Amino acid sequence: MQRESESDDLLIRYLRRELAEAERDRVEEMYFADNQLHERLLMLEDHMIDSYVRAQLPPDERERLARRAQDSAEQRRKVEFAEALRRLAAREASAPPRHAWWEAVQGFLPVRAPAARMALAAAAVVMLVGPLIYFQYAKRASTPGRQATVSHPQPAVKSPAPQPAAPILAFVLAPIERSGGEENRVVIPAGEYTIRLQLDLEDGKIEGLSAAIQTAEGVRVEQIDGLKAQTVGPGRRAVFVSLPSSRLREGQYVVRLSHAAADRTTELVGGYSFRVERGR
Amino acid sequence: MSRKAQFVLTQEPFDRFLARLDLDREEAGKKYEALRRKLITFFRYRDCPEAEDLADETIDRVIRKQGEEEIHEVIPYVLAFARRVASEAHRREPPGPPPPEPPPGGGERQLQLLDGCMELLPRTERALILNYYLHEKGQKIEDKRRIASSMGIAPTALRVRAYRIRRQLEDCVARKLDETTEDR
Repeated sequence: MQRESESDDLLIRYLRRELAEAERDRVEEMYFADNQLHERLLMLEDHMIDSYVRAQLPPDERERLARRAQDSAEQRRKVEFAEALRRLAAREASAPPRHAWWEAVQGFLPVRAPAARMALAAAAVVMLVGPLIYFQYAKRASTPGRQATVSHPQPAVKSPAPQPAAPILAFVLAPIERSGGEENRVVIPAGEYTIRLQLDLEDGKIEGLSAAIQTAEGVRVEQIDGLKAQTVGPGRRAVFVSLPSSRLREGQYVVRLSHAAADRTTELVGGYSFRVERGR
Repeated sequence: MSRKAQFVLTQEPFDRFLARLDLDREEAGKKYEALRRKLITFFRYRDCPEAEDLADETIDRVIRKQGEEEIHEVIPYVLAFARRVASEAHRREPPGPPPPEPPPGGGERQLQLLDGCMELLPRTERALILNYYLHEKGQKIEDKRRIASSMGIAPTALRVRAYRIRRQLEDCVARKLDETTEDR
């Protein structure tokens, strides 16, 4: 944290053009070598420009930024964009009140939320990404090769493990906020299966993860601890959880992925949702 | 005035340059875009006019140099070349006198375009960015924590998410501005 703050100070001085030539050159070399640092630099720049359009900069800094905006078309465009964004957000806030999407999401994540609210919230916000990757229900004995493609290392499961012979149905769930407005549907045909859920990760945590699967009414179905993230593509990580299909009735479900820190506090790192539909 | 027309590139050296960035074509494309963005930042903060054109000019000239000299590490080479291009740009166009304060209330056009670009976003992203920037400047830190918690992500991840949506919108508005300018 301290290091990030120090690096932020340097970046802010770069943005204010307060650095000596050698320091400026060093910052350039740093962000050319590091995409994240460049992203951070631009975030700080956004923040500075936002402060400018909200008249929250000290007079001398404001004057410098105004001058640059006049000098450079790109800089002017950025300032005008920030102003447009501010006005649009303010306009939205003064529009007739409506239930915010994130309040709806919030409604169904905690266990204590009322059932009706949870169901409504889930229906409104739950997004579809899966089943995206594969739908596999060939018997293990008959398709050993395919079976190998889905045999990820099994996490420690507190509840009874799935029957080894059960065919696997695999689904990919994106975090709720990245699901693009569609509902995750987990369609389970008649019969017994192992349901394997791939929980795509946004957060950088890779170990000590726990997944809690619960109904929209807050009834816990499964708790799986000791999960570890796995790489599923370039720059992409996910956690896999498996459970027997018999545990899932028709209806809405929520998955909370959390991380236990060294000081025993728990941090929520991902929220996922899906609707189970049973085939006839 | 744009200097792009002075540099005519064929596909082959451009492909060779991309392969220097990454052997995987898709990854190379991403790295190319990231490099171009960094160059634009670089020229903006070297107070060069027309930063985008200079970024393209730098890349074009580096691509041409591939055939003339051995480039060991592309990124440091591009940066070193950009410094040369910046010096040349300053020699061509020395900084003028301080301009007057920009008029208030500008950017109506951007507001209209931004409105249109917002409509292209998924509903969740639209709500996220509007809520985020409504509460910008720290006075609503708790709100941001609440939003982040609702989404099941850390506040830092929320900040990055908001930043990326903003970049997407900014690119969309810039594209539309360019289109309308070209139409005139």
